[in-house]
Amino acid sequence: MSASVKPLVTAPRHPLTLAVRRLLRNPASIIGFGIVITMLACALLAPLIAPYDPILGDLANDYVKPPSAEHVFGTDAIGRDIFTRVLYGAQISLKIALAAQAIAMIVGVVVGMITGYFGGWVDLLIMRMVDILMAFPLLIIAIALTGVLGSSENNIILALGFVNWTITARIVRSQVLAAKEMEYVAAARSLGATSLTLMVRHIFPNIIAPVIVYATLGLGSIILAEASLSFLGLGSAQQATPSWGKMLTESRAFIRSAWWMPFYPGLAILITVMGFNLLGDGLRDALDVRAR
Amino acid sequence: MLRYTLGRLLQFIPTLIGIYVLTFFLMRVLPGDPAQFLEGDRGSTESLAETRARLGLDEPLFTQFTIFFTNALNGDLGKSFITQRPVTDSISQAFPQTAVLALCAMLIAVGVGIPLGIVAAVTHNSIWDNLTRLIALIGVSIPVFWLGLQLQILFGLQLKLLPVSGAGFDNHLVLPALAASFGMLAVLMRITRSSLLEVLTQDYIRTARGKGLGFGRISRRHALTNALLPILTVWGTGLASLLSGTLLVEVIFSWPGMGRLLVDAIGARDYPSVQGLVITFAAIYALLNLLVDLLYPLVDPRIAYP
Repeated sequence: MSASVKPLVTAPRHPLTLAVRRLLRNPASIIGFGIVITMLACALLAPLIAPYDPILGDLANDYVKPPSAEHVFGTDAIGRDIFTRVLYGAQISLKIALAAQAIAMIVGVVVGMITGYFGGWVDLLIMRMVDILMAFPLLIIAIALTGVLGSSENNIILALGFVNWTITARIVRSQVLAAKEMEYVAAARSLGATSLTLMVRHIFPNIIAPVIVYATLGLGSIILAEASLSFLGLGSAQQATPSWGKMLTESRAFIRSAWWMPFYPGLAILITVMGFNLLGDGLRDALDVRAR
Repeated sequence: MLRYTLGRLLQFIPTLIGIYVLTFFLMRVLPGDPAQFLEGDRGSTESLAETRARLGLDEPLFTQFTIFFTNALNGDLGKSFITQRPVTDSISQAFPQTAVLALCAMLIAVGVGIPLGIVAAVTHNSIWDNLTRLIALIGVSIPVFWLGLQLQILFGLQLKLLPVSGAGFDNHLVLPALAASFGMLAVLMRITRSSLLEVLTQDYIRTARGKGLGFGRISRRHALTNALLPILTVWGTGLASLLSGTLLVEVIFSWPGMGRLLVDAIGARDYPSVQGLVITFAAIYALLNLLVDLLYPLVDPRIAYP
């Protein structure tokens, strides 16, 4: 026995500390976390670290140049630096994804809690609606929605938020249904807690783990959906906005001559989505959320 | 089973009506004027009003709805605002294109994904097993249209092995089907691996091994048949992503299917076409779900039709 053996009795740790420790023990989730942080940093710091202007190109000197020391990812059809545009693209993708997911989460949590807690005809009606919405490829609804709403950043956020709240609502509802039967809820109720207090103070903190896990995993698919929408020309209407999906559309005419134009924006999407998926999987293990 | 199937088919009706009503009012309540689109910037106020009247857009919203809805119930989805062709015509023309593409993609996904998953489970924790984890991660993270573009560049333009785009039930199918299949392939591979690994630890597998059966026979007869249920579930949900994937792939490869039709119709504010296509997609999707549910009792005799 070495002297470094610690006493068996230690102070009980906060569940969050334990979860973070479990998360950091898994190399895959560290990679995912690293990717997500890097992409967020790229987005926030784009104006500082980008070597060129994302919108103004140098048509005279830098028209469709392959990757080089000056332009690591090459330049596009009007001489704009692709590396710079990929950095700024992170801003748009992440902003849209986070905002859409925030809407989906707020609506999903509220609807899920109310239907799960109160049940009855409200539950029946709303869940029937959710069934209808989910009985349908979500991307097609999102395409139809942005198509009719008109292409702008806010409309994409609305459309993606609208198609994604159903998933959160279902998860929250099933969690609330299970939590409602727990003893701590009965205890709080017998102490005179109102329905609102029960839902907000007692049930919500206990069901937050799966919500976080699925929100993280969902961010990856929202980024993919956003890229698909802007690839189909339903992205932000502003001409110069360097969104990843839009860069891919613009590059389609050049696939014969300039492989780097479609390559890097797509790679950025792939790596970012991989990051959220790895982090989500890691969080699922760390927070001990079982698959539905 | 017949009773169950009929019951499920009846349940489609409210779903389809719901989607129809939703798309109808969304398309009309929100901005964007098809008459303006048809006339372009040249249209005068009078000619715009005329076009609107011709398309039936000058009626009150509720009257429009009643007309469109009654026609839809009679199987008439209206005429395209742009081409003046009946929507049912263009859909029935595009449907086989999408169906063949999606079917090929599905066959690739099943034919490659499941065997790879079996190999990964059997060689648990090997380099190969870890490689399949990476493939699976890429499969769920890759933008399908980017994959399509890269396939076009590599096999179409650099190696010149396959046509870059265009339709045809020959070698034109290879790249689009590959691109559309990858996501489902990855998911099927993962679920096959994990459900097979779970089954392989069961007592009856040990018993089979104990009575001297060979590994091949155990995997096929005992393990795989029991691992099929979760695979079927994932296959069912994967069909949805396959359908959306096919839509994007059609745009990339200029494949004249329903996905491209839908994207074009939305761009042109072609209400009848959008509505017809959305309803058709919903119906196909609902039918596929029913098919999956009908397959459950075949895969696992313990499940009976409710």
